[in-house]
Amino acid sequence: MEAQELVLVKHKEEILFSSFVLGFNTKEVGSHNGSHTAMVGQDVDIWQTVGLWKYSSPGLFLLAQYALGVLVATDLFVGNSILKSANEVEGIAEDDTFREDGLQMNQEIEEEVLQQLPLRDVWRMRAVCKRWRELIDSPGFGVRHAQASIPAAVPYVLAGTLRGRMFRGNPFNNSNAFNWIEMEVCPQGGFLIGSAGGLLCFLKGNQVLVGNPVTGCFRALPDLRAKGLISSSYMGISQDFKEYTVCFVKSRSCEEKKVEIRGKVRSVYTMFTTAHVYNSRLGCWRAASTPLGWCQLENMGEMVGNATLYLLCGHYKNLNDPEYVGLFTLDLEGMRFELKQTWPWDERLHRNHGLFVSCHGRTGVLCCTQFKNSMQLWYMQGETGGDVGGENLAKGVGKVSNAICLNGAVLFVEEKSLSTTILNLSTTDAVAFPFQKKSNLANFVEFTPSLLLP
Amino acid sequence: MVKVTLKSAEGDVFEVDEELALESLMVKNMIEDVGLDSAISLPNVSSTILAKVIEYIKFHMDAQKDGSKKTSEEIKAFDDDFVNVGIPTLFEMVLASNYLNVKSLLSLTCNTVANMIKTKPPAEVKEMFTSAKQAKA
Repeated sequence: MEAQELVLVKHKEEILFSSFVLGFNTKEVGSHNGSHTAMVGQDVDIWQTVGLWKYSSPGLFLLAQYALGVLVATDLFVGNSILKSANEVEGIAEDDTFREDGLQMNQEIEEEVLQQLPLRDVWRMRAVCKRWRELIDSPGFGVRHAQASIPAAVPYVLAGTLRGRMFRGNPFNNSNAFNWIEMEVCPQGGFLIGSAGGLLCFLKGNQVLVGNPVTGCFRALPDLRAKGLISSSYMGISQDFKEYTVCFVKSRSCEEKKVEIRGKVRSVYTMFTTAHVYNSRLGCWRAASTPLGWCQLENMGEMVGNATLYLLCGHYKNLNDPEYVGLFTLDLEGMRFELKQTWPWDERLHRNHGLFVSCHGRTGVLCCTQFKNSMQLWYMQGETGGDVGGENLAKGVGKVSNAICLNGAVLFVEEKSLSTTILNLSTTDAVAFPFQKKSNLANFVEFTPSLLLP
Repeated sequence: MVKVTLKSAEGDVFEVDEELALESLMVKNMIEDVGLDSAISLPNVSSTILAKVIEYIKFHMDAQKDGSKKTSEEIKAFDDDFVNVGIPTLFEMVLASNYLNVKSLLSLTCNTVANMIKTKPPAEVKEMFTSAKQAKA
């Protein structure tokens, strides 16, 4: 992951992260705010370092301004307090003795110590001295920290809306009450389309942005110039967290052919699916298409690591006449589609019933479908297409507008009430979380904060 | 039992079992290079710290032996007590375990330092390290 083309957003960096820290641990707010204002303060107008915004009512603010005016007029303040406070701001990161000899330990040990800290503490330790900041900001540190911390971490769930807003939830922390908290999106805006290893991917027009909301570091990928609408998108990261892959699937694209049928020239539409894949190591987009006639079923696919993309496709005789279902794998290194399994068409796969799928391993497809008013889980395996499970998971569910399969759980949104529900697949417990805002959650991703560079 | 002679920075001589000395990868390499005839000099480790490191390795070797009656609680209590020292001593132990290349002690001491700085604001962490430095100087 090269550090070129990085767009570092100075103030956003702190602001975005402070919104994260608030979510992590409210106890930390006081101490973090101290360093937050200190770091931002360096670039802000000198008057702001005096701290006028601390006053709770406008009356106090005006009184303070008046008092300042008197002090400035008598030349008392400028000479001492302001310069003094400016020096204090500098002091945190710019201490000379610290810059030179660091903390008297060699870098190997410093890293060993810092690697053992949770992310929010590592990030605060950037303010201790310049050497630590350089150490923590180096790409290798982020990768090693991710390798140690991400597999054990409890992920957040981020939800993007169609209007480009983003919310954060923490449904896996074993508490019964979880709220969706609004977060600032990436500075350039855009829709949230994927997440892997603490990196988020946004789409804005043709522009694809990958960024880390913790460090505020964003990178624009080469523009994705391909015709047709994007039907689904995935993001994956390699096991060693050294390279990531972004994948857009464009299906239901139609290829027109003029065919003469019984003496008349008619248009025939053939469906197929194209996957556009960006790999951070190769730094370019590549594309591969399924054989003609195979079209991805709605939002049904999953990426495993950054090596394989699984897609569930339907084979259509013509536009509304599906024949059978097939599971395709796309080898993201060689960019070749391979048909792994086929099943006869199942009524439950029909779009009107809403189907959401996740592939787990190579053995089969785990599907979560809505059938009438209940959520069902079923599992397709082998050539027989036999579905194991098929049990009702949650009854009395209204029309579902969106759902994702998370690790061991399914999260779905009811279209009418906008209520999100987490369904634990091992215990089949369903917990509902109302969503207060008037926006429809369109896309969900799992997110584990890290220090990785985009 | 073959004995190994270790010489601290102050010139104090410690005679330990070979088995114990080999726990330090650095000493192990030295023995392979120069043999057992002469004392192995460790100019970066003071006598107090070397004594502590030996105490630590000895306890853990005994605990791992068959027939040892030490429970994991007892081992944990020993470790907790072992690192319950002043910051300057703790830092010296980190440096020594890194120099002597004793992996288990290095991760124990680093973990202790990490837990100490975990919830502290950056200014306090800096102060902690500065005072440790002054104490050493």
